[in-house]
Amino acid sequence: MNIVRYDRRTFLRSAAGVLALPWLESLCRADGNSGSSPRRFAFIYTPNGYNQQTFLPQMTGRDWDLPPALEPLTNLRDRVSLVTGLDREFVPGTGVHAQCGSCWLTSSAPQETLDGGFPTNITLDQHIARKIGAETPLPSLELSCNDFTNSKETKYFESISWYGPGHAAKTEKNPREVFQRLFGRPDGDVLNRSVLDKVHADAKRLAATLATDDREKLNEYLDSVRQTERRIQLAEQAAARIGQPPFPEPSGIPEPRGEYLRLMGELIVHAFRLDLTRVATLVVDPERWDSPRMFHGVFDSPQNHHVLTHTKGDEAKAKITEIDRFSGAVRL
Amino acid sequence: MLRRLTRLEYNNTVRDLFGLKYDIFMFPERLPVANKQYFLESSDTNLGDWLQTSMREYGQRYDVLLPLQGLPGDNRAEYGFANRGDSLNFSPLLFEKYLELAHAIAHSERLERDSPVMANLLGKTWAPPASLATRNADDATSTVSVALKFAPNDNIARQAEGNDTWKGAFVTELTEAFEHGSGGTFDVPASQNNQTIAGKGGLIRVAVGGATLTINPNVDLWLAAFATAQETSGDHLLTNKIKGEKTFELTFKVEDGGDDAGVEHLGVCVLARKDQRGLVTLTAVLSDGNETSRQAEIDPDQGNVFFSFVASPGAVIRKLRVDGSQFSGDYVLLDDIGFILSGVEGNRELPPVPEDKRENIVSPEPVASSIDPSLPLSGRLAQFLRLAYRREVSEPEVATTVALVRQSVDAGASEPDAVRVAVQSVLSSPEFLFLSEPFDPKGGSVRPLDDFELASRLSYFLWSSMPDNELLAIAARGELANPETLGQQIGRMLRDRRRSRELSESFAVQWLKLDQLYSSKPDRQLFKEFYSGPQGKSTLHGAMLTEPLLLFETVLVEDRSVLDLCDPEFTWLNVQLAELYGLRESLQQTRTAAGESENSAHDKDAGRDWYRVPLPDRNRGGVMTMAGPLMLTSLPLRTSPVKRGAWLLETVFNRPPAEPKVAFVLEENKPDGGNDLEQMSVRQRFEKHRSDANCYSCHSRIDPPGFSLESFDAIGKLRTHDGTQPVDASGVWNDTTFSGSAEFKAALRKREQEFVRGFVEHLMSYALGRPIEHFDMPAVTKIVDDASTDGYRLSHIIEGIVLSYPFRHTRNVKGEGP
Repeated sequence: MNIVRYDRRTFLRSAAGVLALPWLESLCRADGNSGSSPRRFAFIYTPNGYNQQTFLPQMTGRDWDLPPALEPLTNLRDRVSLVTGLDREFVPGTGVHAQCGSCWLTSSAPQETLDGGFPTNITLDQHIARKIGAETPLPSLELSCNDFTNSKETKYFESISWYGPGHAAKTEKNPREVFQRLFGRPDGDVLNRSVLDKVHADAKRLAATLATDDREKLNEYLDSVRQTERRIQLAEQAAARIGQPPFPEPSGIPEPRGEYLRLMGELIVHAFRLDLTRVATLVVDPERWDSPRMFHGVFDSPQNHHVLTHTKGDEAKAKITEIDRFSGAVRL
Repeated sequence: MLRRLTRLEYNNTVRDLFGLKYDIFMFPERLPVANKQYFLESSDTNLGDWLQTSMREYGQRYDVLLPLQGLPGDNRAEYGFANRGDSLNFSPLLFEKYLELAHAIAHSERLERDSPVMANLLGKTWAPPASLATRNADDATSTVSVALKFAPNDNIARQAEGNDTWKGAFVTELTEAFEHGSGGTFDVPASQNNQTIAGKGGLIRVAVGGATLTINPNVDLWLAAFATAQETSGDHLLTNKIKGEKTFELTFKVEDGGDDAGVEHLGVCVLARKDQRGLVTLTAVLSDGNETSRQAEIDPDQGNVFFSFVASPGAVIRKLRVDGSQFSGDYVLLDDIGFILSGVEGNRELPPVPEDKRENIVSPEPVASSIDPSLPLSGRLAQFLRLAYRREVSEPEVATTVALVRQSVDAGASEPDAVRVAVQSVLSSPEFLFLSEPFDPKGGSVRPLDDFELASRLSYFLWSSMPDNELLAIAARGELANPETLGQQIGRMLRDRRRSRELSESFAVQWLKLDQLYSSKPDRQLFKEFYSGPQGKSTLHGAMLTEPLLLFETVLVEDRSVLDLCDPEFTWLNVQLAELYGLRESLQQTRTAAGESENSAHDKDAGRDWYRVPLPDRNRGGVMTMAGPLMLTSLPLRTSPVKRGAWLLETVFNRPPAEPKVAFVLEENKPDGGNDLEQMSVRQRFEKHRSDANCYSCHSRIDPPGFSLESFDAIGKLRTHDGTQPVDASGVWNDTTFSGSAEFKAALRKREQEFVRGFVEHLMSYALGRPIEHFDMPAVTKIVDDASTDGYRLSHIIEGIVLSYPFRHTRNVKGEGP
């Protein structure tokens, strides 16, 4: 009999953030206007937990040891603060995987379930974006490397960024489209202002006829229109400032998984460097999904990450370590 | 009630709004059915005993309006369907996608050509364009459309020495060229198997967006499949026809391009073949007289080799010379000729899809346009808005749309372009993207739907699309709410099979979770029979998806009892499934009875032939004992009674088990066999788990139905043993002990209303776009009771749902807040 209490596992899933040093300083200056260069925040999520034995360091403090799964961080060791022990309480009633990524950054307490049984609510990245995102074309950037084409799982398995209870941010999964969103001059034809004005007016008129619940739903649309109007203005200014994009447009999702992850990481770096956004989230892979996928260069055949985490034995554990290490290759 | 259209509904709505015969863009919810004629042309009452259908490979290109556009997908709701309003969100990113898509639709030249509505909206009369077959009559058979994917089988092992570009970079450039209509890949189509391209005179014509590339060999070439080679795309390759004639050349020419048009960049794969090896040299002959050669040792242990050539500036590649004289095999095998053309006018329109690839076109008959082209602009716009918003529109709504057109004209746009801007705004408007049922201050806390709201509910339920002209006309007359009229409309709409196919392909697929089927990848060593063909590229996924769809469609077309979904006396089989199920004899008897001989002609494509086969016993029959559901609830290496049990409780009874509160790790065998688990079956290990008090309360419900299916392995094949242990498929259900699926079905039938009720709840939730609540239960009970009077016929249930109180009413509570 092997029972692991979920709160323990959930912690592991939730501890997926790597914050840049000096950690406290960056939190202290979250208002974004106290330093000379803007503060930036990236949240990178990897699913299904880690193999603790090879992921957690033995020592704390400056001399922390680099465990095998974190080897990709070797050159950055001195600039990384690893924070462990951020526990989160599991709330019975919904699935465990559905409460991992979706609750990681939530501002709701575990027992606060404004979204059916789920404690989803405005997430940390969106709070920060509201505070410091006003000056950049994109208040925040939500990326995901979940390229499974079936939608077998609910949004709770693949969304880490939420605008509010039950309201998940859509993620961009194709590097090419991220690139176009970042560096493409907003197409005046496509994002025609008179069209925006028109649908904005349509939405306001429709909202006036709706009951409160429905109006809240329609607010998602209205907010989207406002954000797009804002983005057009700021993006035009940014495009004039930046000139040429820093590298050629990617052709799509690279087939080797490592290249895909690195490319998405690079896009975040460039978006930060050129001050196109200051807040980003990246989902390295969704929770569960139970589909095998290739980890190119690591295993010869497709592997099912989720099933491995429920498999006993050293072989499965060793594979999880490999996957943990592989995910570490996305570094900013 | 307010809910956004799903991706499928958006596609269908735009398609029907403009009266198109094909999809707007490609998306994974569109099942890869290669042939749906059996359903589209079925009689009103019978699907017959034999039909032909098959599945294309997932992801294969098919004819759509905008091949390069799309929308992000919608997640399914918790225990529910993707169309549930509460789970469908909106974001800035999505809004921009809608704007882009609406812009592309409004500006599509093909739309203007093919859509009577668009033409009439622009004030033009419309005549159906000549069909593609007619326009391409002279060369329709010999021209091959260029493909986007270069060597998609991902089995290139090496590159030739000195290549100008490595495959990754080549593919990036090629993709870009493809999208600009100036490049792509020639891949030998399966339909051309065993064709010969005559030396000197023969031509392979490859249609690129902006031009046509011709490839002319100097010796006879052969389009063929080799069992001992691994193609880099598809199953077919290009080689010398005459044995041993291993030195030849291909001459490239570009038709319809500029004078200087030619091949600028070339990539090609040379395939390795079992037991054959040796040096192969490829030489590019340039227009400036220069030649570039590359060599590679072809070796079966080292795999396929990629060659690439880039013409020097100002020159193009005229010829590719192939020299396999030092290669030990008799044939030099080429595959995937990728080329990027220079001097070709870029053109984003993709080449037409040849007729033989058009089988999957979703083609409802185009609606007669209800826009009168002779009306002034405001009149035409009013008619368009009414269609797009699926209701009567107000004067101010028309006026603001007219104003938008005027504004664009004033800014210098032509009137047609200004109308296109208006179309973009209409397709991006919340009135189009959402189904809304506004608050009525005069109504009570629940109000009846008005006729237009009812028309939309009905059409999105049965068609996943907008109401057609007839429904809108009835709604405009205020007659739709009449139960008799509703009954007639349901009958008419179900018989419109081109649209009602979504009940099967959207509802049934989501209900049975068949959308997860292609994610199941059984272990290649343990389940060899699942894979066939070269490299095991052919799988049983398609057949496993077809079987449950055919059962659902039989119940739909023949208006059978929904109990047939779980316990019928027949199933649909093709040869592969009959083999897997051990029912070859039953299949043969059916074929003999149908007057076919044992060695009937169409054995080659036998997978396409499906027979309605009477079942010899009750082990098979019904969705829960089909290979598809049995496999999608299994793991790659073994069955999972828990997954199967949970699937059954959710799908069949709509009473999904609670999520586990503790994590559990099932102990697997140690590879060295050093533990006592080795001798335990999966079932025994679960019994061990269930004996824990923490687990018992849930598993006492989940496990019995799961155990009843233990006599099927992880790909749904009957078995007597799990490892070394005999299978134990016994349990208790409805106070009846059972052993195996046949007896479980008998036990289930003792309270068959539990199944019917589960089915009604699922279908009703899908119809309403929201979860079923406690206050819906009286309606559910009534539908089940009413349907029981004639054996739970599907039409009776559908009619019961449509006539029910929840379907015809909406909540009407203003609520707190601003």
